[in-house]
Amino acid sequence: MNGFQILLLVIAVDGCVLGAALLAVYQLNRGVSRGGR
Amino acid sequence: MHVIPQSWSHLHILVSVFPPLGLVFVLGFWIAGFRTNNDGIRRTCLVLLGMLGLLVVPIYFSGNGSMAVLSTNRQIPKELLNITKEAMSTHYGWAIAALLVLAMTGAAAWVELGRSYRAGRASGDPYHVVAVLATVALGLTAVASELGFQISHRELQSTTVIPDVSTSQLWSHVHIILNHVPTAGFVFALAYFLLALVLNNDGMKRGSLILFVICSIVGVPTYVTGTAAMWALTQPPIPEISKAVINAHRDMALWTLFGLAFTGAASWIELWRYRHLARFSKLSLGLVLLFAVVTLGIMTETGHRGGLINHPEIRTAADIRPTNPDAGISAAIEPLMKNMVWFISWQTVHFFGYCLIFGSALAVGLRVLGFWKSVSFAAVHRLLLLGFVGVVMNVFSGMLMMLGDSYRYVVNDYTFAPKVALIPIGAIAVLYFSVSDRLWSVKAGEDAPAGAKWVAAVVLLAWAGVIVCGRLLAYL
Repeated sequence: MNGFQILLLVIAVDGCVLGAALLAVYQLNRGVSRGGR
Repeated sequence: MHVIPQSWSHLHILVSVFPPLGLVFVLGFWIAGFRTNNDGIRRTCLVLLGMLGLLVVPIYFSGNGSMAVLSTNRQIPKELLNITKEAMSTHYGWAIAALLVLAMTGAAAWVELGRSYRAGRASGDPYHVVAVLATVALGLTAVASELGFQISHRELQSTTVIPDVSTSQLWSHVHIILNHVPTAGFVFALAYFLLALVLNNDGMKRGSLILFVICSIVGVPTYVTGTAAMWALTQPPIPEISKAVINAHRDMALWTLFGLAFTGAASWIELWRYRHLARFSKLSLGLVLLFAVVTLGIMTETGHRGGLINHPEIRTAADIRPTNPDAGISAAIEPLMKNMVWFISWQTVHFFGYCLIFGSALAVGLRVLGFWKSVSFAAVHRLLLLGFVGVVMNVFSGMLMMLGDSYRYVVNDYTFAPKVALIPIGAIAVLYFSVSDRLWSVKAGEDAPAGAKWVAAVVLLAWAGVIVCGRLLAYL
């Protein structure tokens, strides 16, 4: 693998993990905002 | 099937792990019951203490049976047999004292339970008798357990060291003690949770969710110390200990870590949601229950495989002794993670995780310490969710990175041990932010209670320490 391919892989792995994490945060926050006290 | 013992030793090992951990958890719950004035919690504690008292019978008889078998074991060399008998004698003395006090604790708990039912409410004063007895029983059972370890775990006294290859047997010792928190502790957490669901007691639900989170957090150092113990037990090799048996245990421990992560994550999210919504979601609680039951099943198998490493006497007819030290998922992940391409990908995830954890802990911690008083605590509490996803990311990425180069981390890096010790301290301290009622009521313009400020300081120092120790890993 050359440097550019490694960079793409890092972006892919981190993008997936961070994307899933932020989606979870968004959904949970939305749930709390709708029924919050 | 492994929970059905087929020998006295097996029964003794299984039942004797519950009193020390059970007493810690029940006493913790008891304090919570008094502080929140929750009768349900206090009565449940009395029932559990009464049941712990009943365990005296199987512990005593299985212990006597184990002693008789071990004393006449002709496979043990005579010199070793004498040392074993001496160790058993010391253990026996402390164990009898521990069992006596435990039986008294159980009896007092049943009496108190009867009195509280007759009175129609849980009374306050007489409980102190039970609490004092339980505390003494806790101390004595802890000593008796430690002396019990010394009977079969002779490897703990090994001082044979190969420079730059061996690691201390202290890791094995810590692992033997620590592994009972997420295992035996989990049984108590599940028992509390089931009772909480049956009684529909919100205080008990919150308490058992907290226990699930604590068990999950302690799962991290348990897994790490287990990996270190693997190096301690195999470098240099100990004749009676098989790397293949260790590896089979390690594989199941990996699945346990996943199970604990799912249970702990679902529990923490529900605690966080409850703080904002003031009610539990039946769906979420059902999910926690599902994860907990599955995790307990996996953990039982893990515990049994761990026991087989140094207790051949608990081997059942269904057990197939592993022979290949390179079989299994852990051994398959290791070479993959040794590849720089995968290592840096997950290391980058790990750094993102740190940013989320420290960033959110810093914001919430500083508000508690007195910054941004124009914002209510409830508003900044929402940010904790970011830190939570950071913890989940780092548990998975950290576990993968450690699998790739466990020798370096647990044998060669001096700052790994303090880093792993600071993680549970920081994570458990953060829990306070989601469970404290006093802190939750801090409105915009108000100052947080002094106790909360101390907790915030611990949170910030612990996570700063984790980052510093983690960064120094490559250099010290």
